[in-house]
Amino acid sequence: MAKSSAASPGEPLGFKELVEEKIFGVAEYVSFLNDIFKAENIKLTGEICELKRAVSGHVYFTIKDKADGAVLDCIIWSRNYQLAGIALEVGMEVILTGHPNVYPPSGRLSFVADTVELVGEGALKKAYDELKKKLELEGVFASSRKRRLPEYPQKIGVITSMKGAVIHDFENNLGKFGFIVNVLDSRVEGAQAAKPLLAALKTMKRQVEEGNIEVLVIIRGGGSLESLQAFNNETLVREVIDFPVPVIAGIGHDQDVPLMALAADFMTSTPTAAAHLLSAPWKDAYTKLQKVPYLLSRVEDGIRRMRADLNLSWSSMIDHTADRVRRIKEQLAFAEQSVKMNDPARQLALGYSIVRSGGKIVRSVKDAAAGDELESQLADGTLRSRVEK
Amino acid sequence: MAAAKEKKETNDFRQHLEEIAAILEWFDAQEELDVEMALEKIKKAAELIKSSKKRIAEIENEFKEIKAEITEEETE
Repeated sequence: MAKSSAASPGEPLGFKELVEEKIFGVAEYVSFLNDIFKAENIKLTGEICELKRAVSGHVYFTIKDKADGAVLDCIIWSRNYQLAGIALEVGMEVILTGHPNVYPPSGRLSFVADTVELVGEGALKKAYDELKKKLELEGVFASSRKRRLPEYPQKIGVITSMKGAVIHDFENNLGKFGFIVNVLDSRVEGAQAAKPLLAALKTMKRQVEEGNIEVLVIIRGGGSLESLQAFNNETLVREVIDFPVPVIAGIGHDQDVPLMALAADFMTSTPTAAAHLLSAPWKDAYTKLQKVPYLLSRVEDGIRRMRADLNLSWSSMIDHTADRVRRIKEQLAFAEQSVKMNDPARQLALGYSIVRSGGKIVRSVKDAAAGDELESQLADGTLRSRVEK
Repeated sequence: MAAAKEKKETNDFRQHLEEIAAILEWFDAQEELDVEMALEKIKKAAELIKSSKKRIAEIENEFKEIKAEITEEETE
């Protein structure tokens, strides 16, 4: 920041020359100092020895070194305190990330903490267990609250760190199913990841409103309770459960499942598994599509068999009907012939006659006696005659 | 209406064939032919045979038409 080389004549003054030459007013100098302090974030550790919560929500506290008892006043603004998700108490050992600041009206120096995290796995575990219990009682992890994924998700939002292999593992395992992946880079390591993760979630929310995202995926590789602190952050957990589309959390972990993963609609143990979850329905559909030609050929076979059956039935019907018609015609011809043969008029036309005596047909000479009157019916009329002997 | 007419024609045709068969049986069964009755039967049989031949010709034509129609559809 400081420039040590002397400026040549005619050149603008460097930092060192400027500081050496310039006479500052008090306010100007305090502002100058604060600008310098603000330029770099510093990590500071100590034990909280005094603490006061203001009505505004800001927290004023003092930390001291265990070794030599040096103390420093600290402030964490309300918004950052809430985001930190830790209820600070006297006696807690913490790591603060932030910068010093001189308050111009009093000239007092305080350390302004942007983030605060607990020191040691024991403290982290205690905070984790307490928050887990609280959220469980609220039903934040209840399965009834979980939402389903779209049947065929296509527009995917991803929040992760672009550094490292995680995003590559995810994209490589997603498969080529026409996904539109919108990746947002965010810090994911430590308590300091809470702020960028919150900002990323808000950005993704806007993407949902614009119709660019159907599912949100939050992924990172495995880590200790300390490195996963942001994923156990109450504010972020609540952001996830209120997120407008289903959320998949693919966050690697050692023992304690990150609370964000428990709250998400789907939890996978690795980013790769998150990718598989999204690609599974597409893979299934692809497998089913591959079976279509076989199914079509089966339908075709069925149609062919039905057509053959119909043809057979039709032929059988045709044969039976034709046969029946032929037999009826034969029967009618036979009946016609029989009727002709049995017609008495035909016999009369051939020269035969029917002889009656007293109205009865004479079939034998015994049927008539001498003197009887006979009536002979011929084809064209009747003759009357008498028996002589 | 058309279906009812068709059903009546089918029933009549079947009945006519039965009546013709009955008349033929009657002739076969006569040892002494009653000429008057025989003439009546002959007249009746001739009438039934005539109408039945007409009906069977109609049936045959209809059948041929349907058969031709189906064959045409199969060719298409």
